[in-house]
Amino acid sequence: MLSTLTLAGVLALAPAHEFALHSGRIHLGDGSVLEDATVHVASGKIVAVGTDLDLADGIPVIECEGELSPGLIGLRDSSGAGAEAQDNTRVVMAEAELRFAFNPDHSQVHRLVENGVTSVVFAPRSGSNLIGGIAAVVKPSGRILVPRALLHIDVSASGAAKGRYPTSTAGQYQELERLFSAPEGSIEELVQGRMGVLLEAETRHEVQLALDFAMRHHLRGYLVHAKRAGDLAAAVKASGLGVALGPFLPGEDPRHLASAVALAEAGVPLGFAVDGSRPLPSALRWSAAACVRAGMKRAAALRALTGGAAELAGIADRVGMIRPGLDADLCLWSGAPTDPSSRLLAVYIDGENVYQAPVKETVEEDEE
Amino acid sequence: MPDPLANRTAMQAPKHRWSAALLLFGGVAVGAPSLSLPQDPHGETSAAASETLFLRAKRVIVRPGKVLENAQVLVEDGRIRAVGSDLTAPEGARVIEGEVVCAGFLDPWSSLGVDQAVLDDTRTDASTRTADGLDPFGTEYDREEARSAGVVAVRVQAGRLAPIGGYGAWISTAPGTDLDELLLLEDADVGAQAGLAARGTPSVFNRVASADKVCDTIRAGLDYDRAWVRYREELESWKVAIAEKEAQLEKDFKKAKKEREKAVAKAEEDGKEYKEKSYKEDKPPRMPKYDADKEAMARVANGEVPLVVECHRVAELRALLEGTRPFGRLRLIIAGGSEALEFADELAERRIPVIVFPKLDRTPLPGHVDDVGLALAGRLAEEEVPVLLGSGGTKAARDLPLLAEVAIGNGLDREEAFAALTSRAARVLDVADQLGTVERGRRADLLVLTGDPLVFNTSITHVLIDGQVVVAPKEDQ
Repeated sequence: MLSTLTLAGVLALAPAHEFALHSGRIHLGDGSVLEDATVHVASGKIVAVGTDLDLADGIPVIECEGELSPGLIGLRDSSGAGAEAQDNTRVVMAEAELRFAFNPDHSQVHRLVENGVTSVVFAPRSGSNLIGGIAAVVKPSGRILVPRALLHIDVSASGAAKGRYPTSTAGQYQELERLFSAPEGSIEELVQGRMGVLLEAETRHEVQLALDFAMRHHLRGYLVHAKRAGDLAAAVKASGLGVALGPFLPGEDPRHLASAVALAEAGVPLGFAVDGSRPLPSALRWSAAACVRAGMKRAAALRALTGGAAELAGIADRVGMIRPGLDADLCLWSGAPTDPSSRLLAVYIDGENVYQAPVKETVEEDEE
Repeated sequence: MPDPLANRTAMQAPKHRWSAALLLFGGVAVGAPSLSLPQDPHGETSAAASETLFLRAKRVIVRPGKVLENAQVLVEDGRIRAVGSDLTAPEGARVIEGEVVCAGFLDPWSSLGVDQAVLDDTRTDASTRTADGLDPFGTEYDREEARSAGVVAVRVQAGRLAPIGGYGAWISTAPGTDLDELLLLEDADVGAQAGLAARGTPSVFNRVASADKVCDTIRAGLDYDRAWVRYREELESWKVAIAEKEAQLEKDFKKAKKEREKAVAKAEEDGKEYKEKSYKEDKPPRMPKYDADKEAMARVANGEVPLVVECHRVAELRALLEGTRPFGRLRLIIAGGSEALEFADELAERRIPVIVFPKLDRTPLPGHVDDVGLALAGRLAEEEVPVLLGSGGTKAARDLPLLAEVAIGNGLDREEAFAALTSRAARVLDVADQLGTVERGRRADLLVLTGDPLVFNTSITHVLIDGQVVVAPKEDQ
């Protein structure tokens, strides 16, 4: 309680652009941990992190009672977009940029921050689009990190529109191959490797076909919605694609959790999605905890929430780890970040303290 | 605090009766074929003589707040025989060692083990028994998952969307398909709801009206009960009056007989029909018409069984709280209570427990001002409202301990969360004589853990249900 007060106090006084956070445990985001270490932040970027930093005089050091991690990254989200997250008037929306649907003032976007999420892949919701549009990477603070990040391609059954071409899997691939034979715009960027793919496939059969397609066109990116992809872990690994897990909910089919564990064990790059059919930011950490309960290693789960997700979204040079040069997107937890009973105490985006846990009214008694 | 179990009439004592099974054929005939079998065909649980177990742990959590260091628990015939720190293992007992031993977790708001049609039935009434919808065959897998996570019993409720859902039941997550063994309490509560609809969002008027209906139903139960009390009193005094009259007539028998004969003769002479003299005592008091639903609600009104009302929003919560104030003996429990924080003072003062479901995929309620979300359990507990945790009437009992950890991560005290999952759930819903604490005489539904319960790093090594080891590490089986 006291440390939180100190933290708030210092923040009010210190020049916001340069400070350091000292914590007993810092999770770097690649699965490794520094004990008793300090992060030096200046102008919204991480300047240095280490156990014996040489800080210039006058840089305020904030003592954090808790564990620091990079801000969490959601691999698929449409918080606040509402009906804007999907436009099914046409089957192929290859040039529709989702960043136009991003409204950082929406309450759902605030909810991301309250759950420690500092970057999301803002993507079309699944519906009856074969190609849903271009996902952006955004921060809930309102910043658009990458306007054209990943192209959403839906080869699941839900991607096949009812009553209009294509209505079948065969039709979907016929249309895709037609578009890919003379690529232009976003599809050209995709085949040239300048853009990733967010490939939506649900059943194992759909996943199999999607993997073949991705390999045929040398696509990078990740699968979403593929809840049983773990049954094909070796094939997924061979494709080079990653998988956005979840979001899982209480009562989740244990086979989905087993699938996630199998993917982790096969070394498939993993992240977590925020959005199934609607945004569920609190399900992000739940999903990680459920995977750990099912047998995933904690370090792997945390990596999937942070650095691993950043790699899949193609933003590893910007966010996802506590590493010099990256954005100062940080979360302070009362305990281990993957432990669901840990409380989120503070969130920083670009070095700015955007969330502070409400302090209980027992502070005065504590001081006595 | 008075023992709520003491209120229960002997007939409805919390133990399984075959009546539930017999009634099944006349009631909601779901899962009925199972009953035609005299015994579990696989013989998984039947008749296996239960072994004597001796648990040894660094800490035995007897009940929340009471911990014995370096203690032992002796289990015989499915019951806890002794708990102490100086017990020695009887010869031949199987010894299990662990860091911590505590009571098994209870899910007071589940649908595990009950046929879906029973849960979705919108035409249930107060006398409907959820126990009749128990389907031990279709749910064996779910129960296995639940007990692996340490959840040993769940309260299930039929007719979630019906105005009155009927009797809820506690069922064990033990293996096997023997209804008699699975059913722990067939009349744990009467369930009801205010403000829910099968389809769409009901208007505020409809929501308030549904809360009023719950209160009217309690009133009807009370009136019914009073009518019976009055009837019994009248019957008693009638019996006395009749006896007195008979005695009097007996005494004056000869005279009366003579007088009667005279009167009969006179009537004949006059050519009239003789009319027997009537006495007001001839007419017995009128018996009220038997009504099973009203009788169930009478038990509710008298506090014999608690009333669990799923209710979320301010308007219907207010109507429900106001409407139930006159019923002094009612034991009201709120399930859900999304906006219950609004009434924290009254809930705390009236000691009305709230069963919170820490729901991850909750969509914010329209027009809601102070949306506390996952912090609800913690905030209510802070205001001294008795908090329970449940899996929201889903089949996710397996995830209840993890949900409790989420509630802890959102401000609920760990000790409070543990109480919510054990002793408080047992006490509030009338199974405290069987479950919820590690005390002598209780059912041996126990957990052996590698550390304190509801801590993420802790894992459960052994689960005992009814004195049987139902979960154990592979090398220990």
